[in-house]
Amino acid sequence: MTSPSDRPSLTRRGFLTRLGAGVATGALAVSSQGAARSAPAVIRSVGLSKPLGQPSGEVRFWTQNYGSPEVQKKALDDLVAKYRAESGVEVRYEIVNWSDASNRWNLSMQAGDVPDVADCFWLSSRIVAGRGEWGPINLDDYVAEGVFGDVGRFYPLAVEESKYQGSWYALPWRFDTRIINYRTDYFAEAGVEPPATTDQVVDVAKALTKSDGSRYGVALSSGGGSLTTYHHIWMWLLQIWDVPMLTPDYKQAAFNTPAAAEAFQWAADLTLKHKVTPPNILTPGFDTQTEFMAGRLAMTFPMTASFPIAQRETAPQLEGQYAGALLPKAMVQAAPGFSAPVVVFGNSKNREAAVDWLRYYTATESQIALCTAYELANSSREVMADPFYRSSQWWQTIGEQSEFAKMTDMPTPAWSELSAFPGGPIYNMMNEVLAGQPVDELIIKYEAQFNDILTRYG
Amino acid sequence: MTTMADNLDRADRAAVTAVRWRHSTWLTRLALYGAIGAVVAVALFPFYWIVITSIKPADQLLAIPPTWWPSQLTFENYSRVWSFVPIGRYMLNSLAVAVGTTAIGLAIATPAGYALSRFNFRGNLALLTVLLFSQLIPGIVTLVPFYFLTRDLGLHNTRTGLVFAYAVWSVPFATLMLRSYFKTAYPREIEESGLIDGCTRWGVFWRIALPLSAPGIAATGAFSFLLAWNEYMWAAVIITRGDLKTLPLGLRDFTGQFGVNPYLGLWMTAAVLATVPVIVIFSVLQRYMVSGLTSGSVKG
Amino acid sequence: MTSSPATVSDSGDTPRRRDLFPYLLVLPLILAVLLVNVYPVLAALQLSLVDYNLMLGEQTFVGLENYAAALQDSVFWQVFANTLVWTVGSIAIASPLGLAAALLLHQPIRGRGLFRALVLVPWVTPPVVVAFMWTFLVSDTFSPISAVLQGMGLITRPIPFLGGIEIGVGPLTLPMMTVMAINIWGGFPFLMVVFLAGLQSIPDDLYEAARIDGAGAWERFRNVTLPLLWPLVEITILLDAIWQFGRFNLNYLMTGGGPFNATNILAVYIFQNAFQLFRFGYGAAVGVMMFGVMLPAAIIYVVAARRRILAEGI
Repeated sequence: MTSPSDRPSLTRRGFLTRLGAGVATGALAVSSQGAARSAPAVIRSVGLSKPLGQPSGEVRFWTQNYGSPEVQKKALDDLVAKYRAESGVEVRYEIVNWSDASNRWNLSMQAGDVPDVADCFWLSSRIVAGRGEWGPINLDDYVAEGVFGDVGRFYPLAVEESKYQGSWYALPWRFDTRIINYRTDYFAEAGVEPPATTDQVVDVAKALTKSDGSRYGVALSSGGGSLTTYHHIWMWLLQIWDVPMLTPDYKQAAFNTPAAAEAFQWAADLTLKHKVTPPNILTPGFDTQTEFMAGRLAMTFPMTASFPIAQRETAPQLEGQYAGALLPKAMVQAAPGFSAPVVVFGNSKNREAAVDWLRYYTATESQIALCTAYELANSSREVMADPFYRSSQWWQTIGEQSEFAKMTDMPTPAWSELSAFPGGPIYNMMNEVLAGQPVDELIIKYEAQFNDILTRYG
Repeated sequence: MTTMADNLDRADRAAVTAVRWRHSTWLTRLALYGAIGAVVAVALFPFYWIVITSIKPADQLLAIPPTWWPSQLTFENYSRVWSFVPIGRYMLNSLAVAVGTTAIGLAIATPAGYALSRFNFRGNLALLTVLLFSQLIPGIVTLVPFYFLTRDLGLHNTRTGLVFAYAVWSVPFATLMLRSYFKTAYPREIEESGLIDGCTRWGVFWRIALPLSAPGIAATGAFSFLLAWNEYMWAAVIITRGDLKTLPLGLRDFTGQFGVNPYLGLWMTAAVLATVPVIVIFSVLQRYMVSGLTSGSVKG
Repeated sequence: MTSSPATVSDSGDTPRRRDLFPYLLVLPLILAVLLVNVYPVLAALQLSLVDYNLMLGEQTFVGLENYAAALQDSVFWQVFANTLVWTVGSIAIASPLGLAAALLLHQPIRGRGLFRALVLVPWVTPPVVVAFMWTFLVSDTFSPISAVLQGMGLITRPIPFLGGIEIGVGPLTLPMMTVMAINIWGGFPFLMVVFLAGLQSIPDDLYEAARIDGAGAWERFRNVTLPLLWPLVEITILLDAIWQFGRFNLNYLMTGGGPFNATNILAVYIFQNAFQLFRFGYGAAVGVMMFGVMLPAAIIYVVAARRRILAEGI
């Protein structure tokens, strides 16, 4: 598989931390650089209050699909093989399709039909659905013991998303934020620059829109339009208009404000008033990414980092004709931020190996291997220091944008219901906003729906 | 003279009629072929589109207006798709599930269909009524309870679970189809002579009824196979393990996190590959299906 | 004859005494039916009477509240109307089309088997393939159909196949018509095969006799084919209606019921409520009502089919 020399087992920072914890640990860690199979316990310090012992056996691991299927398979196969060589533990991974991930997770959590370790989303919903039995386990002790290295490597947002009521229940891995994706050739032709504010968006988009309908200046969304991502626009609009989605205790809706109305009206006006957005954004099958690649859109946002993969596959002729830019600001500069939590489930029969795999999976070297292959950003500064993330204008923009990223999924178990796609209240409200229904009435209607649902979760 | 003229006239007229008849036949045939051609074209046009898209170069995939015949053809997708997603694996899974479904479904439905067609036992009609009824229950109504049932039996996330689901699901339809087939496939005297020759009743079923009804059994099997090969909803609920996915689930691998399928050419290729096996099977069995299908589904 | 004690069958190989052999043969069938139909239907009934909190796994008995909630929900009524339009529309067009195709492919022409096989292709295609392939074919931007019409100058803008909810009458919007058309495209071959089988069972001498009587093609169709085929047509339409009523795949995979529920039909609505919105009890209640609505049709079908069975003799 891999030669011992290129088999990393520690992050540098993690290594130093543990070196500080005890000479013995450090010595073992060093020896692990040479001995492949004999030293699986190395990463765990000898002086731990709760030694993990020798992990063995099998670990079942779920993750969603990222990057291209072939790339993901190879990256995961490599990582699993490396880990097997190092620890003797066999990781059996399963890829849950995003197309039915939401259903799948709801059902699995209900039934307790969960793997040992998983890359899931909506952490607090999973914890509550686990009913104290099979839900994600509290990782505080492991974190305190330094099992996962220095958690200071994670961005504050990622830490916040990995905790529930102040305790660690997950470790973050990928990081998802969004930027403007624009056609450099169209912008040059129209003599405009990427917009810095939402007001500028309208002007710039007008300059880019062609009256015969063959090209539009802008469309909001990360891709799959009406079927999936409009709920993310809803969240982002509130962020840049500086409106909280929920009250600080996450028990009530907080978006019944004039600023929210302004935000939603701005989004609706792009199509209905300014006519700079395609009128068919709500049509099933419409997605901004494909329209952009076909040359029918000059600019689309908030766009995800993985756009270049699609472009290389489906529109190679666009190479060099698009670029990233920071999202426009309204009241404040903000970007959606999601850090996927990786958890160990409570009914794992092999918790020791499960925690160890979580440790290995979230280690810097592992994450560099995965996220550069998947073309995803990461929740760890150490990973983001990899040259890959400075290799292109696109990735530099994402790095810059990360500074403005805000927590976007709210830590309440009701969140999986509120942001269910399609069909949840956020999804429905955003669709109705974009269809031009009166914003004030929508806010009142959905505030009530929010509060109904939130009340049910206590 | 007049008679001769009359005769000639008559002969002429006959000839003209004959020509006109032949002419109209020719026209009728042309119209017939034209109409059939139109039906076939409507049926097949979408397949032309996926096939042509699967062999378009990447930079022509999103051309506006779309290209009907690309400037160059590339078959790269057909070699690449196998490693891009484990489509071979998915095909084998679908094949295993479809064959298992067909085998188990037939193993249940064939004896039952035979019994229902031959023996006037107490409950025969009641059972038929239940069967007729149960093929009308929408799958969505039973999906949720059935999911919990497979889970409780430890059959979720196994090919066995899927086979089990499909097989029992296809059984009412298959039984009704086979029952009709057994009734009409051959004269009953053959069985009676078998009994006289000392066959047991099981022997009659096994050595006489089954071989003589082979075409009907094949047609019924083809339906079970098709059901299992194409089914999406139940598979999506029962299977999560990547290595157990059937083709319909695997075809969703191409769709990414944001509902976009950026691998258009490869997807079209996979779609072609997923469709070819059922087309082949049904082309071969098309003759038997006609009789099998009517008797089973409609006549009851 | 009902399920009461059976009479002696004419073939005489079934004595009246209790005979275990047939029961042995149908035993696996009975188990299968119990497991896959009876149990889940009863479980669905039970589920419809509770508020099932999926996340907490708690079931609270709420009586008929789920039913009441559905009946008060305007979306439910929209979806219900959609489903009726969908069912009637699909059959109204697919049946004549299937019959016409059957008549065409019943003609003794060269290559008939091949043509039949080709026309069957849409019906055997996996629904996942059908849904995605057509999403592309009817997309606003990439549709070759719109492109051709635009090229011919018949339209100036692409047809909003899946987006034009303002076009149409009531539940019969353009998106609904589009999805229905695709459903018909995928469904008429099945009807064709059924009708073909019916045509084959009409004895040739009837046509010969009609021909000798001087009947033209149309008269032969009207006076021989149609009357003899009609019972089959009736029962096929009934059966297909029941099936169309419960359709799921195309609408779920292609539009997810959108835009704004314009293409949402009951099966999709149930799935969304149960699996996407966690409302299992509500979903089950709608399922039970759906079953209730199609029950009369189902009973007519079952009674008709039973009558045929009895006429033929068991």
